Amino acid sequence: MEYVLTTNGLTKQYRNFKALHDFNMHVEKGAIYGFVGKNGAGKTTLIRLVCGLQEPTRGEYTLYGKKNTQHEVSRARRRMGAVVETPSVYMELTAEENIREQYRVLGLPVFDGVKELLKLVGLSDTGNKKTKNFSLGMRQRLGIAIALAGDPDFLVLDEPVNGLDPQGIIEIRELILKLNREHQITFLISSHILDELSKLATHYGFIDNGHMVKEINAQELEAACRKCMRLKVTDAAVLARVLDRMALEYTILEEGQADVFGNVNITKLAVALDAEQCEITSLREHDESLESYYVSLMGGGSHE
Amino acid sequence: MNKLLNANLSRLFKSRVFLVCAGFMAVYAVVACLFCSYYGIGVSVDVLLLSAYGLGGMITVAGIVMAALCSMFIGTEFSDGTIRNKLVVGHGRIQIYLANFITCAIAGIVLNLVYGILICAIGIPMFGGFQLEAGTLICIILDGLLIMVSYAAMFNLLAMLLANKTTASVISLIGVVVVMCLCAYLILRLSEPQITDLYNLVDGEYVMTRGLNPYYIEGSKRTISQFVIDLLPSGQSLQLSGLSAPYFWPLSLYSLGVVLAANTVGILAFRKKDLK
Repeated sequence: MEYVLTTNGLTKQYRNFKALHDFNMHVEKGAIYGFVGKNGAGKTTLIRLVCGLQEPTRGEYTLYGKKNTQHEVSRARRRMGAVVETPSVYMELTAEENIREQYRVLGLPVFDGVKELLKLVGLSDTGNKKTKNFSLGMRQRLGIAIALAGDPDFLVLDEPVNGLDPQGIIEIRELILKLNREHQITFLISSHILDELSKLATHYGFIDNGHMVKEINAQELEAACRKCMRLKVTDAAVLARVLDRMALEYTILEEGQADVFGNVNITKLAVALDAEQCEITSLREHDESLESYYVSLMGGGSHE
Repeated sequence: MNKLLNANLSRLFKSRVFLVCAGFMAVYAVVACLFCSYYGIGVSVDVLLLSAYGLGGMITVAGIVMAALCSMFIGTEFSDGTIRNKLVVGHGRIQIYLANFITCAIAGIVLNLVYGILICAIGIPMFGGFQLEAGTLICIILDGLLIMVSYAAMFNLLAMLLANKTTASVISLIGVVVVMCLCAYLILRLSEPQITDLYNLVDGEYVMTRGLNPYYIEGSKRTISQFVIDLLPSGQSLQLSGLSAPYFWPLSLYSLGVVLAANTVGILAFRKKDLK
């Protein structure tokens, strides 16, 4: 397995507070790694360490095979781009000037790719508009364009859809998927919006209080999330009686709704309910979401 | 570091704060010439040229301009978060620090040149050529340029370590004004004569006698005071503008010392600084 980023016993302490404690993670090449945790769990601290904004107190991380203690890690960093917290853009410059500025920082001799980058992130028609007059979504996209200026193989995005409107969220999602599929860029994305993350991520890391609680890939997560049938009936008491008789596991929800787990023979269930004058008013398949998995994981301590 | 310098300079010459500062220095030069001409003040071009550093022996014009320019230009890297774009792609902290210092130093020198060129262009036809000896003039011009570089080192240090545009601007401007007042006061005290006229009230009338000046600083206090105004860029500025320094050539060495010390402290602290 080839890893873009691994951390080994990474610890970051601010005075008496340990933001990261003995933290281990593994980001596979080509993955979209969803980094999940509540506020203050240590997500941004990890990203700051990986981006070289801060030094670890203990432990180490390896970026493209180069340890953070090695001088060569600077060269490895040239293969990455990042948008940490807010997009890092000069407010007094236009979108094009911002990208040109990053080209100069990278020492790129020509500005040939600037227009393409602007087109890629959907900012090619911003003209002479200064970045300070951009919407948050436009700044976020410009931040991604700047991160892409060096043609990176690894992109770190900290809360990329925070504060975006629904259209902006969709645009950022499609951009990430496009970059991952067409340009083979590996992503590390921290996000609170689990539903959104579940539409992107191929791997997940769950962090709590500076510890990695669990790393799991999307297939394992899907297997771990139990499928169920969500039923709405006219009489929940009858439904409970019938399900007990059929030895099915279930949970009664409010207003005559119930989640029924396992393989359900719908015809038999419908016939049994009809025999007791109970009607099924709605029925649909329901997957346990990333959100409920996260809640059960964080609520139930370590699941290793 | 060339890449960072190229990026910084490109941004500098487009930045509003730099253009405003350059405009201010240009207007200051023109107004200084026209003012002296209009009121018939007999002044040499040399004095006008040195007014870039101090106005009326009190206001360190260059210091105030550099405080505003450096803190706002470097502070933008932190307020807009763009310093992260440099670190993320593998630029070292020492290179980033030094590139910012060199950019500020170049900005200071350019501002000095803008002022100097305009003073020469307008002042020489109005007031005639330079009156100082060529050697002294070159020494003073070199001192002046190094004062700008030492201002750049000090304000870059503040901006890089405070990592906040507003805080850096406020502290730099307050700092430069406080130091300016201190230096102006020390220069005034050092210029006091040792023997002076003393006035005493005797039988309701003032009687003048010659005696030791109570405001005269002597001994180690004098040495320390002179050292302070020689060391601080504001003290150097005011001495230069008033042509009051006992010797001009040591000022260059003091400036180089300030540049070296400020950059060493700044780099050591910035290397360990946690950035957000």
